[in-house]
Amino acid sequence: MKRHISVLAGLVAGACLAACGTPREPVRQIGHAEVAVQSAREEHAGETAGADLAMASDKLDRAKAALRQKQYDRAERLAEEASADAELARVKAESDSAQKDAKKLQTTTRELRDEAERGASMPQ
Amino acid sequence: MDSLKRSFAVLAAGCLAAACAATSNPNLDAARRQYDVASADPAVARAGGTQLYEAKQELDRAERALKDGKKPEIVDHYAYLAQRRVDIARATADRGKAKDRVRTLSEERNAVVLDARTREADEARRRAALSELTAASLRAEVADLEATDTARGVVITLPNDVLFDVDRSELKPGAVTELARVAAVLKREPDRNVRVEGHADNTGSEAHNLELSKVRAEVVGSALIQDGVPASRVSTEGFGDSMPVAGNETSAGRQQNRRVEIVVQPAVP
Repeated sequence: MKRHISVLAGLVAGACLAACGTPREPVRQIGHAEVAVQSAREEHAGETAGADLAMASDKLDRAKAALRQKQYDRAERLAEEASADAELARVKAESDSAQKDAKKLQTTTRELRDEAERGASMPQ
Repeated sequence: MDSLKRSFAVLAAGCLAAACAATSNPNLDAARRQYDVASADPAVARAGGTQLYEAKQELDRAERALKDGKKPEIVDHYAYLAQRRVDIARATADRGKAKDRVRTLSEERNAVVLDARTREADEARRRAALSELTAASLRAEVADLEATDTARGVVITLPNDVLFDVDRSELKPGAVTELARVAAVLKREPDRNVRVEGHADNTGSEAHNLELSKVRAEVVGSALIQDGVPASRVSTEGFGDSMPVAGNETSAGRQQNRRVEIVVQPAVP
């Protein structure tokens, strides 16, 4: 019985340490978010997914602030959300850029085809 | 000892109470619904499979957090990440569609460009074949035509007897048809200039011969233009009796000298 209790006590202590003990600084998560925001910017997400990018950038700032205040859990959550927002912004921007390319291609192809037809029907 | 047991019981009860504190979370419910809708879309499931898998993991984390009685903000956090993963899966599918479209359109454009190039090459070949105009090819097209290859180009010689009545400068009806046939060939030669030269024998005054040969050359030139040869490519000149091709002593020689020559000059590149 005594043995059982000590095992149980150990478990509870362990759980408490994990939950309430000082968590490590979420440096990795913040770094990841930083990279994600940067690559979204490089895809010009500011133009096509401005709201998502702004949200990512804002959360990243708040994550850094929370880190300074040693609110590590909060910093980690904010950083993770910033990463997800930034990734969404990047994919949206890439999608938009591909759609623009498609539109441009459609126009040039039509022009080329018209030109070729005009050339073919020209009197010799 | 008893007090220890009691305190564990209290702890357990507390844990139970916390677990029962919340059994649902509206954000989690919304994320789950979004996940279900997106998973049912074959395009999203195909292109955003990885993202949907990650969304499912976040949903599971949210469920676990809810069951473990974690604070609502923790459940909200995982639900938010799940929701974002679903959004990214959709955006990935959109991006895939757009990229496929770009691929198809580039292929289409390349085909059009290739087609145009092939057509241009065919056209150039056709022109090159046509530009090989020779006396022989002219004779093949216009029967009984007297044509010679010279350094100046292909020279078509039309006897005046065929073209005009004596001392006249109106074309005979037969000549009109003959010139129309020649014009038909020349029309296909857009890169060649055509020079019409009038000649006479040495009977009569030199001035009269010169004038008549000039007028006759102009009449023949006009006929060619009338038949469709661009005027800008046709020039005319009269030489009188200054350039005989045979002796003027015999009537046969004089007949040869009375002529109009159409010089089809080499193609100008």
